[in-house]
Amino acid sequence: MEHQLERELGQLHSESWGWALACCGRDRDLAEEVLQSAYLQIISRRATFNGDSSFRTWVFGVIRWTARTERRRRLFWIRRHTDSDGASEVVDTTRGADVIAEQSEDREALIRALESLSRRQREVLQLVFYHDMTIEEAARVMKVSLGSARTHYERGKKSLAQKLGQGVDR
Amino acid sequence: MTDINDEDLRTRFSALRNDDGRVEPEFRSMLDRAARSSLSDRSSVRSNMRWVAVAAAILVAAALIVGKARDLGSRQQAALATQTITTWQSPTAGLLQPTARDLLAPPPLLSSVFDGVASPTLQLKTD
Repeated sequence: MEHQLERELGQLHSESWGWALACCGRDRDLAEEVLQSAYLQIISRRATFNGDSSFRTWVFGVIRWTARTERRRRLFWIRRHTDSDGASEVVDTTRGADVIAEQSEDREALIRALESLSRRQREVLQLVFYHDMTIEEAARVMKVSLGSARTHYERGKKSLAQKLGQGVDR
Repeated sequence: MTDINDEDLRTRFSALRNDDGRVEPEFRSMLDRAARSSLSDRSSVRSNMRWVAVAAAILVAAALIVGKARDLGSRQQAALATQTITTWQSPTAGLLQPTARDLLAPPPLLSSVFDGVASPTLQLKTD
């Protein structure tokens, strides 16, 4: 049972990594921490799969929830331990500004355009275009209604296309 | 403005996925770290539980000792109070001490405050 779980997690690892990166503002260190924490919850049965959705949708949901919890925890820590200037510095680091600078122009443009979208729009586009999910599956991962996911998808796609188009024209 | 369609978006996201794949951490090492972390979590929970159990035992023992001490104190106080109550005498107790005759005499069936006053008069009339 445990081996089967590990095997399934292993098959999903690349996708899980991509999703963890997306949930963590593309910060590699944070994404690694979040993914490890999500695996820990899964293998220690703190998060249990009840078969309501596909295994992949469920794992993505766990990663998303873990990333949100970790982000909140970090934000709380930052608020407690640093002044406002320090906080903005740390937030910039979690976005992986230094990492982005190393990437290709197209990739950078896509990441910047995605960052300008709302969180839900970013999530639905990532799930549909990066992970080849249907909008329905994306809605399950995001825990929103199908209608809401569709709205986020349409608006996000329009906005993303505009931003990338402007970048291409430049 | 150049129009970006779904296919363009897919291509860009696909390139992003390929880039992400290059910096992907190894699954097995990540899982092992997670397992180790789980074990250390469990052992820390166990040690925490041990400390909680020790603290609880100390608290229970302290509560028992305090309870017993209080019980002993209250018993001593009660004994002292009983002793003082049984030996206490009012200052006018001597006046109330009945004579042996009063104690042996049956109680009057119809007694009144005038008993001692009226009876000699009535006796005189019948005479």
